[in-house]
Amino acid sequence: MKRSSKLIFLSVLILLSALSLCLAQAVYLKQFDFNDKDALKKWGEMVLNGKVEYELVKEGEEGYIRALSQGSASARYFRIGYKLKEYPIINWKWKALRFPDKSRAQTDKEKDDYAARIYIIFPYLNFSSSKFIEYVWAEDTPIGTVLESPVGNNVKMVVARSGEAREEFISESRNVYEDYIRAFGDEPRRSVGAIAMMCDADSTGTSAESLFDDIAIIRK
Amino acid sequence: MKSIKRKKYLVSKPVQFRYMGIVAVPLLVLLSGLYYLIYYSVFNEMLIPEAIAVTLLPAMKKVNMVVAISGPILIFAILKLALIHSNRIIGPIPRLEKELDKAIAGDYTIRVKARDKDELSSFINKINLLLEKIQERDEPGRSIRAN
Repeated sequence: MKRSSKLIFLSVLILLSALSLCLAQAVYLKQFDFNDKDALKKWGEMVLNGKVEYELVKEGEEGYIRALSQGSASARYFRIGYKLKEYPIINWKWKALRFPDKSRAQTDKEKDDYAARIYIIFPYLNFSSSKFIEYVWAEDTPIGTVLESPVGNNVKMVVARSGEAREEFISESRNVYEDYIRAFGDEPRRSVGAIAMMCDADSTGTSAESLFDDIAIIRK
Repeated sequence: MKSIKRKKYLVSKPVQFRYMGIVAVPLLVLLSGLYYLIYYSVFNEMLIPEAIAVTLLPAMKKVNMVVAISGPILIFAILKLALIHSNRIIGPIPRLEKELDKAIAGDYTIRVKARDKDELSSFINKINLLLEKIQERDEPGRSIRAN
């Protein structure tokens, strides 16, 4: 190969690499692979009723979040502002290891415990109108069901996964924009302000355990 | 100077109402803004709806109840204070006008009455002093004219 051909080949390679990097950045608004040991430190903590143990577990190069609730409820959140119409997709992986025992729960409020939840938060200036979409892993409700939250009308729970605890990570991909319209009957009027994850078992006073990994906000 | 008691607080409706508005409206706007800012900041810190429902909303309900009861009392007290203060400024003016009309007509024996807490009391005292001087200067001429 001539020297000039080699140069052209190298230039094209660099150009293609730069282009693919740009495209990746345009597709992904944010990715959390939790491979960095300090990854969880960037997530804030909101304690609702006792602390849930959130820890970053490393298995070789790969990392994930392990959440263990023992009659407690606390969430980890990440503030990120973006227009849902531009980045409507959220992907994540999760694994429910133990569900809260709801056999004795009577009311909706007492049953309001889930091994794993992912929140999309839409803060409004009039904060009482703020909207929330919660993706939950429910044991016995069909996938796609939109549940009313005992917390209020502005909170809608979408069942993203249904069934027993699993041994392997399950990948999810949800179009939040479409789910929002399905849940609230209208387009979101405000941008997303934060995302969060939670494992809770405070209402039932039992315990729950789940794993979270590879949360990504993506352009359609 | 003889101290006189305030009988009427509303002596000039348009001016005093404007004064009460200038005092009360920004104060109420400020208080409402602070109320909103405090709750918005707390909401923004909590973010999670379950936390908001358990902590912020019950606290807000309690505070709203207190505001609903004490708010009208507070507004009434602010307006009453604004009325009293506006009267201390504006109150002496109609009196001053009336007495000065008499002086213009030639009666320098008149004296304008001021209350202790009137904002214009020192100004009224000076007018009274001026009237006294004019009266002293006018007295000999008046006696000659009378004779």
